[in-house]
Amino acid sequence: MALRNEILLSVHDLKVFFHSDNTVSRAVDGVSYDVREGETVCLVGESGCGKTVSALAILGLVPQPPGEIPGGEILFKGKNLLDLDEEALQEIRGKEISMIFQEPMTSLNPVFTIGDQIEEAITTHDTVEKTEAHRMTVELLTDVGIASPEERMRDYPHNLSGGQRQRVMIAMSLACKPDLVIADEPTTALDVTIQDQILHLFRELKEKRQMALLYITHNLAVVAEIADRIHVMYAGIFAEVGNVEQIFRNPCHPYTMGLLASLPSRARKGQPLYSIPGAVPDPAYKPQGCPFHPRCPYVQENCRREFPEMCDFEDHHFARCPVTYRQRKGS
Amino acid sequence: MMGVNEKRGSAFPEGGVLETPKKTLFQENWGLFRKNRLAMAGLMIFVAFFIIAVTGRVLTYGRDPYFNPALVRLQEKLRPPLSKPNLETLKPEEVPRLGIYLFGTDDLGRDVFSRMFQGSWVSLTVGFVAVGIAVVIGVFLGGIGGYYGSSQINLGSLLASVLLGGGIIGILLGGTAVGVLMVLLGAAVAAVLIRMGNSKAKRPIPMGFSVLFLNLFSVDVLITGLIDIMLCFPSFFLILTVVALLPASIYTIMIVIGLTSWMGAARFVRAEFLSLREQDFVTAARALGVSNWRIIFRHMVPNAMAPVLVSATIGIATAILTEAGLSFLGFGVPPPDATWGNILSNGKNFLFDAPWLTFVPGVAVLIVVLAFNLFGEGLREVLNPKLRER
Amino acid sequence: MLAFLGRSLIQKIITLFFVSVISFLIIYLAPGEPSQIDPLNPIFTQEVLERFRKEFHLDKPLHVQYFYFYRDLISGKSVSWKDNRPVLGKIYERFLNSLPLFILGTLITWTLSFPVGIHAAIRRGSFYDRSTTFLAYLLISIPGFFFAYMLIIFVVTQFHVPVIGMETFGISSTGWSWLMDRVWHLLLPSILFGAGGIAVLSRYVRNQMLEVESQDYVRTAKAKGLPADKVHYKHALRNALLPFVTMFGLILPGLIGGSVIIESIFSWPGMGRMAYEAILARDYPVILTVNFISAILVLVGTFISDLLYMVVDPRIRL
Repeated sequence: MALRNEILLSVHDLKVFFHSDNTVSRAVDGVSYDVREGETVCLVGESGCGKTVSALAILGLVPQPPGEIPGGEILFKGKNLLDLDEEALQEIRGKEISMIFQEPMTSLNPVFTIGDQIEEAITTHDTVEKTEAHRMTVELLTDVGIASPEERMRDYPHNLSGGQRQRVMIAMSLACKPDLVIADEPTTALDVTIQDQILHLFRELKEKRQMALLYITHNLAVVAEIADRIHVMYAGIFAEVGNVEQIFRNPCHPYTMGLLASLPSRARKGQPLYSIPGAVPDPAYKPQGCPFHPRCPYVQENCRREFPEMCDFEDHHFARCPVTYRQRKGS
Repeated sequence: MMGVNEKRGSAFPEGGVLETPKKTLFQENWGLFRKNRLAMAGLMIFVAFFIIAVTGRVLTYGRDPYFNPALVRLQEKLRPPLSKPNLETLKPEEVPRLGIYLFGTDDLGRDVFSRMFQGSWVSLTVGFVAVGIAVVIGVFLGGIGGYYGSSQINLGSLLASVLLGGGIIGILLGGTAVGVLMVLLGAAVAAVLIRMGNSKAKRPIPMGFSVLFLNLFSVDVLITGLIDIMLCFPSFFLILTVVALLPASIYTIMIVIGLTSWMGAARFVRAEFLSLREQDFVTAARALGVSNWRIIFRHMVPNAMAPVLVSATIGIATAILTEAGLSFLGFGVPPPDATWGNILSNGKNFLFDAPWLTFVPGVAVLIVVLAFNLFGEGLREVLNPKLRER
Repeated sequence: MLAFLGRSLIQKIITLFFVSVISFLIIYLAPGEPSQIDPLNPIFTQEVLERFRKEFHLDKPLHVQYFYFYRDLISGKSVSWKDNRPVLGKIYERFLNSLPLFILGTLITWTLSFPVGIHAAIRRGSFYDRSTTFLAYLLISIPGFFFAYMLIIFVVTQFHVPVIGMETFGISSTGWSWLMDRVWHLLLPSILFGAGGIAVLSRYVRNQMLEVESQDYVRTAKAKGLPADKVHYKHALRNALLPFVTMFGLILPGLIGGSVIIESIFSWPGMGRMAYEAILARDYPVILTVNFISAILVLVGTFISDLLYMVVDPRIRL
């Protein structure tokens, strides 16, 4: 359904490396994806697989050095963001693309009031009267479900709970009605009940505002609730790409299968919970061939040598696993 | 999507699984440290200074030292650096070992090079011993404050320790009768405390004695109070006062500097212990029944050492500067032993006639202190992950 | 709030009491007696000594001496053993001499440290950062007296102006030349006074700024699209400055300590030099009073900094 819309953000073969002493960490190692208007795209993967870095790269917030973006392009409304200078990027940050971070506890400046910080986001990009900025802030806070916003605006971040702070962060990210909101694990640091509320808020806001959402998480349960398209990331690359139905009903990459099998809801009573053996490789020392092969139950000789191609399984459903591809299509 | 793998893994074994190379913590830190060129320069100067100071100890002390720093040659006074001695007026044993006056001579014709050589040992020992004292006191008090911080001190133990301590001081100061009485009383209180404390608390403590178990304040209050008190003294002024009142000797200076500079280490250790105490590995050790002392020394002290090491290195620099300042004001090591401070202090009278008497020791102190500071800061950056280059 | 103030006040008074006891003990338990200042001096006959001892209660037990001493100190009656002048009056006179030195030195330190430290942090790893870092280490490491002599040699040979003392001895001119003479004399010791401070403070500012720059909220500010200046000077700096507010309180003790070494080199008749002379003469009332006042200043200073912290940091509310 969402595929009808215009492409808003298009990332091509993005690479982000980090240099330290004598090693190069390939945090993001060639990923490509599109985000269409009004669509919710999820990047899913274990911590350390490069999700956050690929999001930071969009806004030009990867610290360089030690970071380096040796290749790829990030097309936003046709402009390559990687070619823009700092000033042009500032125009885009917060206004057209905004970002919500993982830690609501530390992401708000402790010495300014909530109101100041949201109003600042408005006045940075739009020239509006102080009273107008104030009115807009109240509206934003009401939108994100903060009770008595007038009073909360005078509060400092430490007066608010974690869930409230994340709502404030969301309000701030919506301040200039951006076309794309990047949410980097916005619910990870919160209690489960609060997580649910925030997820609902996201869905509600999306309906209301027709914005695109790039949602980054390690939590497959969250993904099922909000995603239009899912990108399963492993060691800096995409292992599998598809919509919710395809990924959850018909996973084609052994890594996705493993992730799904380890969901508690899928475990059978009396059976131990499945877990993928081994650990995520160090991004500076990735295995040769398929990066997943040391942990893969279906590993074949070829997997250890050749980097696997992206295989087209069905309608817009890709997985980087020729072994399953041959199994499914060949037989 | 092809082409991503062109350069991939050429150096890796075919099909092998590559493990992250294992480095010990030391190797990792050393690797980081080596990249900091200033800190490496500091370390090398530090090592060189150490060697020079130790050879200085061997070659300039004793009855007939190889380099004689105390040899007076009045006819050769205030000769500039690198000047040749006038062989006709000197007895053979008075000729400087190097054949020239490398750093010149002072107002008594003593060879400044020999004196500097001797002074290096003084600077080194003052720095190390003073800081050693400070670190021992600081780690001990800070550790107790951090680990036993919440336990209470009761009236009895306070009374016992005051009586015992006061009694011993009294005896030392000559008030033998009063002193002995106080020690006896203190011992009596301690004995009562131990007996009552051990009696499994089944028997009720008899009236009158229970007042001894009245809790006054926590250990932490005591330690932080002590630190606060020490921080109230203007430190250089205090050192100056004490050194001036006590008989002049290098040991007095070391001890006084040490006794007045342990507060930083104590604070670091206390703060570190407070957070370490809550951590799981300590809880785990305690759950396994490891004794308190073993937990402190095996599990906690090594973890708390990093900031102490850094402050100790910088403390050595400060101690060397303090000693030089004291010598400069005339309270340093008594003559004839040379220190960099008293060479400088002596040289100030000839500031315009013999500037080398100021510059040689001044630059020497500067280089050594700078080396310690750079080394210490380098250590700090390596050991504190927050300051690392990311 | 009131509870905090009360608790803090009681705590500080207890601390002050122990400081007074310890400094008293250090001085009185040290070997030698003040009455032995100069045994060879013919003025000090046995009779005079006895009177001296009696007058200053030196014949009493230690705790009685302690009581007498601090009673006199607080009521302002204690006199210097050296010249029989009231200690407080003496200190006040010297304090006025030290004051311009202290003010100018502190101004130099605080006005220079912040720009230097902040710029070094923002341009971390640049040539500017590395050179100011090295310079700061150099200033921390150089012995004050050596630095002083280098400056004296430089100024005297280059500008041919006398710099020792508070003014040129026997100068009789008035107006402009008198003022310039005073300024020249003030300048060098003030620079020396400030130099060490700049080195320490600018490093501290730099580290504080670096610490704050790596915080999440600075990233948030960037992600909002704020210009770099606003990110650094509004969001980061405001947080980095918090600890320095507390340091305002800690300047206070410097008021009395002065600098023994700098004032001795420049023959500056200030507090530090007076303390030094008092130590040489074993003038116990002066030594103890200086110690006591400086302890009070430390305590008042920490108290002020606690209060200031509560004012500027919204997270601390009592």
